[in-house]
Amino acid sequence: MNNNITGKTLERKTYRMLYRDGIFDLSFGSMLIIYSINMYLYINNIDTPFIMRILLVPIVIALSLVKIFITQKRIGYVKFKRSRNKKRLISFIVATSALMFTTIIYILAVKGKMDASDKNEWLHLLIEFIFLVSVFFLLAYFTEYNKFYIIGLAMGFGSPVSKYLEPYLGTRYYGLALVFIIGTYLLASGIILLIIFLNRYPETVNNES
Amino acid sequence: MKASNDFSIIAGINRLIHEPARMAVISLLSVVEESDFTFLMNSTGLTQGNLSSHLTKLEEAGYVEIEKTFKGKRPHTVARLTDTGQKELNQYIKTIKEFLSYF
Repeated sequence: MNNNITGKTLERKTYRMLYRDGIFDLSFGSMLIIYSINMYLYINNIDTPFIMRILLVPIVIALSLVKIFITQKRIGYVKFKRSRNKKRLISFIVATSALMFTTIIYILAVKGKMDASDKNEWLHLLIEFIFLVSVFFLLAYFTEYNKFYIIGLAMGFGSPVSKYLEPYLGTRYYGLALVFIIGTYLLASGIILLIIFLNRYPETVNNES
Repeated sequence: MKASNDFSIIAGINRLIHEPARMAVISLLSVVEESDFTFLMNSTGLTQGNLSSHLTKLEEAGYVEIEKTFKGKRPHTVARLTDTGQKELNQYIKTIKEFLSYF
């Protein structure tokens, strides 16, 4: 048993309380599912329905409203210290840059601009692995969202796995199946967490005095 | 008379902080800038009455600053640790660590 609870550890544990409502799992899970479906349609030259392209926006708005009007009221308000806000900003920058970079790489790969079939293929896969794992591990560290460690490893192994599956599937899906599976897992865990949260933290009559 | 000095360390500990419920409240407030009543209640597992009474004691000692407002018709209590509270907590941790180092 680790009894070494420092202020830092306590702050991290307190911060993790914010994920208990499952809203982050639901948001991130939805994002991964929508992303993988959109990319799947794109790879297969299937017209993406307009609703599919913008689906994430209403979902995120709806989940934000649930957070503001339902879950935050139950868990209560807490303001963290400046060092935490700095960490949040770093997470935002890392996540945005990674998302943009990954999208560009995917599109270049699908359009054949990046030759992934030459002798350097394993080098490409290794770079991709290191990039994905580093990004998600950094995010896990700064956001205290431990599932990012698992997601990072799963994403990192996505491309090598898809390379092996290519002869069987006929098409290279660049780990999209894994992205979809992870998204589904997060969505399911988000729903379960939200149900547990709503039962555990009922809306109470406030008798603060 | 080193032994008696060693024991006097723990005898002189801040008893207001030493109480487990108040220890939980003050520790949590030391790692955040501020927190409301509901969050403190959920984090510490204390009941409304218990938390309210401990917060009052901490406020009276000057360790915690309480701000009471209304959100609509509901009361909203926000608590934050004062500099005195932080100093006392640091001293408490130092004392406990020093005493435990004998084991």
